[in-house]
Amino acid sequence: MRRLLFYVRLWKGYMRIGFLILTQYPADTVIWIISMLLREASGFLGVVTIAAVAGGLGNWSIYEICLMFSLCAIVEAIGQAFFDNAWGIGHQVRMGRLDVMLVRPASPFIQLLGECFHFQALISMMVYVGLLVFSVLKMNLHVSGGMLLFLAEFLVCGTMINSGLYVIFNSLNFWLVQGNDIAVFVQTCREFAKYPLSVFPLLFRQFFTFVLPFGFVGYYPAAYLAGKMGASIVWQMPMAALCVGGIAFTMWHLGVGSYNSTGT
Amino acid sequence: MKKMKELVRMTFLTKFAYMKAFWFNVLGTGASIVIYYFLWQFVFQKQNSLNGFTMVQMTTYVILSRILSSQFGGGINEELSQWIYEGKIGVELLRPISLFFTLFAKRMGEFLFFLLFKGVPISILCFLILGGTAPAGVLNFILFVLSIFISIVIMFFIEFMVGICAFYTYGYHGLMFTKSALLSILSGGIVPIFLFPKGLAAVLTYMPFAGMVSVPVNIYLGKYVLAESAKFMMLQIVWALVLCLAAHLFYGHVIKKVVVQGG
Repeated sequence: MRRLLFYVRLWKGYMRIGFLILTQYPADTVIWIISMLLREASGFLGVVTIAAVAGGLGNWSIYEICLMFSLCAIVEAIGQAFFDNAWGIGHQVRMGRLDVMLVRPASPFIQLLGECFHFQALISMMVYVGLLVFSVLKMNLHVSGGMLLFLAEFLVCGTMINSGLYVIFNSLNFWLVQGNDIAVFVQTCREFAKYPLSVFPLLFRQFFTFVLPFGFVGYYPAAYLAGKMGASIVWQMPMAALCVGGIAFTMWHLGVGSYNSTGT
Repeated sequence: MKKMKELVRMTFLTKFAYMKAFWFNVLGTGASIVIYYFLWQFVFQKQNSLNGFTMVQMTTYVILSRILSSQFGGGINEELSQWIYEGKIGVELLRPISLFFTLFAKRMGEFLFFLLFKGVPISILCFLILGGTAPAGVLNFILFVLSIFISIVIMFFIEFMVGICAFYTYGYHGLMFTKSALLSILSGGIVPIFLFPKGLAAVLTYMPFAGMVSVPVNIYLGKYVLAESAKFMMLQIVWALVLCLAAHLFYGHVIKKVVVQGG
């Protein structure tokens, strides 16, 4: 219990630092927000234009696609806000900066995450939440308590899957020099999750369900909300999240265990 | 010319050192081609042509445009920003050749490397697997290559101006992402420009961005008659000159502000 309180205090401290950095450089904050919105928008524009030309993709209407996209983007924004330093693992390992974290009396993983926050992402997240509300209204969905509960479940599980995969592949940096490039490639593959997976051949669908479960970050929850899928997703999603989380946890710990500094 | 060759060689050597990283980058481009290929295939299940594009032509468009726009992720703006950020720009300014020349030579090196190890092989591979059309004619192909070369000049000056913005901002990653996302949207790298709303499409066709993806690919596909191809290539050259002027003016203004920390 005291340990937990300690971490709460630590996390609050890190958030304060992150916030101070944010206000220190206002121009950069604005650029970050724009860049985050644009980065997601480019893929969105592609699928929406194509869907508009074709009058929807398969049995997916344009608003259902918007819904899927917004789910996907919200989870990524949360990841960028709080778990973005997973992308810094490679740098920390090669610079030997992990030494400092290992000798401090707190979990190195928490310290790693605390080093870098992008609260700007929370502002761009508002745009995606707006899009989510818009598409739910346009789809004439009945907003019920169950649906809100499902969305809450999705936020937790989706973030765990999304950021967990980044942690897994960035942890490869403990052993490989190319860890970052593999992780970037995985992030590129995430693009597939922004489109209805039913468009792609079965092999791709299985790959994004069982190997890199990005399907749970957008396609499956959106399909459930749109009534295209049974309720089995309600327990499948946490299962996937636990698997990814477990592997990420193991990878990180194995990595830290085999870390032997740089000798400087 | 000798200096140019040396700098190009240097860029090649740097790139070779990160060859494995490059393969993952190539895989990423491949993945994005696959995505758009399947999306478009879905569209063409219901119709045979779209604005005069057949499925085969659209496949060609997807392959070429995705490969060309994969260049937007790189460019010299990152290195330039890094120089400014770390203060290495001081050393570069002291060199007896101009900053523009050094960077342009590096950009050429990067482009040739891109062409040799990504552009040509991936195009051939994708054409064989996904199917695409040969260029509309020999002349079309020559003009296509020529227009790509002009587009590198346009790209270079835009990258230069983006890179130099690091004088004003603290981090440069945001700008980098903004640049690559904006360029790929505006150049027709994601969806062909004619799919945008009419007014916007008309404007974008005449912007410098169209010269990077849309113009070369449309020339390749024979969508422009010869007179039109000539017109758009002239436009590319005009834009290159305008951007060159803008970059020099911007540089002249900014260089007075340069502050390099000692050490």
